[in-house]
Amino acid sequence: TVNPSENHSSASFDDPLSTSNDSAWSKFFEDDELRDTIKLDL
Amino acid sequence: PIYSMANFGELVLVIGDHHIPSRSNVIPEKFRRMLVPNKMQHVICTGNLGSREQYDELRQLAPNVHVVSGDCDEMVGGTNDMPQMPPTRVVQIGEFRIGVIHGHQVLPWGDHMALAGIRRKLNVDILVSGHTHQNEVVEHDGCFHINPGSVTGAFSPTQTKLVPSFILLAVQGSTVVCYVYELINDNLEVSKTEFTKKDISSSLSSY
Repeated sequence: TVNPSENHSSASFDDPLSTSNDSAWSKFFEDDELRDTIKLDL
Repeated sequence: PIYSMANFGELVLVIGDHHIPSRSNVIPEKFRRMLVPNKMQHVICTGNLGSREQYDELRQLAPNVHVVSGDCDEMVGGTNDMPQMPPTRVVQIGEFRIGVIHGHQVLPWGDHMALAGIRRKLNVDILVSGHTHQNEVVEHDGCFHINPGSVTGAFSPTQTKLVPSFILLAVQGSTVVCYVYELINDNLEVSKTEFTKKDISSSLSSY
């Protein structure tokens, strides 16, 4: 039986849902409004 | 394409037992900041969402949403405009067949021998269930039983310690990494377990 109740800080591994280190590019791809605005500007 | 998530494989949010608004008001803010569109490819929900609005929010998160009905969904059926959901589902993601059931039908609730019977009946590698409001990732006979707990930490008559939680699966072919997210005293705790389908018991590892 394996139970991951031994919690570890997410700092010790990559966390796909981490909000602490979002790059500008990831924000760009996740923000539809920002992406559309930039398209209009171009 | 999900550029920032590419190296994690297919991301599957496993969530349920919201009970909004009957037992809780909202999903905790720290969770809401993480659960945004364009990160996950699938949502698997164990049911008992509580309202049509919660279902619509799940549909905003990912293109593929797989929901089963919970015991409370059956009680409120037709009164909150919730579409009728099946009691079980089977989803193929990567090389894994994943079965989903709310869990109130499995007696005793949360019992792994009883869950194994459902898992064999559905012929799946991973069985997702809820209802107990206690998250779990358990190996059983070389397969896995996963329970995301309650995302709101909603009241349950069987739990004295109510911890809001959900799970994220990162599937790459025959390998899946399972992340458990919990709010303990409003602090986010994340744990990670990785397993592969082939030779599943020997390749299991925790971090």
